[in-house]
Amino acid sequence: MVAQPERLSPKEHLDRRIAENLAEAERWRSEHGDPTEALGRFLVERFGIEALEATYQEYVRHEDSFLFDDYDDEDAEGEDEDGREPR
Amino acid sequence: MAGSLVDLSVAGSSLPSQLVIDSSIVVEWLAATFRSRSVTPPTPTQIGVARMVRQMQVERVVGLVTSTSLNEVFHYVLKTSYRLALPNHRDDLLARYPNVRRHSWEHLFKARSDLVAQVAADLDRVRRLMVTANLLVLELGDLGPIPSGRTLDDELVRTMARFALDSNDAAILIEARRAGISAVASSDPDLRRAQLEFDVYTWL
Repeated sequence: MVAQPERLSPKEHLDRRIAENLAEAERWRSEHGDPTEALGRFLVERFGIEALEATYQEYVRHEDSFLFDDYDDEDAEGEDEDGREPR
Repeated sequence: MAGSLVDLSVAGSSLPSQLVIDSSIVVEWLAATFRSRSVTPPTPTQIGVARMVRQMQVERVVGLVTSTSLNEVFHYVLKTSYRLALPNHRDDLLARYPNVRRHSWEHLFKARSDLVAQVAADLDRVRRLMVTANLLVLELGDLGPIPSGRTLDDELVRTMARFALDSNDAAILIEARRAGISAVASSDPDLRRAQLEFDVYTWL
């Protein structure tokens, strides 16, 4: 007879994942230190401050939203934002 | 049931053991980490967010990140990666968009979508570091049915209307409800309106 997989309620599922996550995170931090420090080091080494700051400033210009991206009319003169000719 | 507005700028503010983390918190945390290495100092909100993330680790608080928020964080990384790659792909851009004066990251994304494969490693790194900071992404199995019994599209419209929110912010609240979480942390002033039904942790 094949064992049936354990059926968990959403709350049980989440509680189990939280317990596993807390243990995993604490283990990682005991080995590697502060994740905030590690993230900053990675971001700056990989992308550089200038690109990170440019994306952040775009986010700020749209008041905490990524639903919209910047389109500079001057950049796409004679075309729409996708670079297609206007009809 | 009406929620409350909790000002995290007040010293000694406590956090619940579980709360939903809005994308604004993750983005401000990212900014706090790179600005700590920049000549531009972190903003008061970024300092507050970094402090909150540390407090979560000390107090074993878990920040639950919805799929909508994760999408916005990944969008930040994707956009930054393409922006960085722009100078290396001038020929591709000129071939695809010869009449555009200054190419943007979106042009490069359309011209060289294959570069996303290289960004995947960056996304993996970011999501793994989120986990180590007690930021856990909600999964489908963590979510119950929509408490009101409405369909998702119906609930989205009702939530947008009730809280006067855009669709992404409304989707975050719906996911929070489905996970049985009534606390939301956000630095976005729009989400303060969620206090009609949620405890909103923010900086006033």
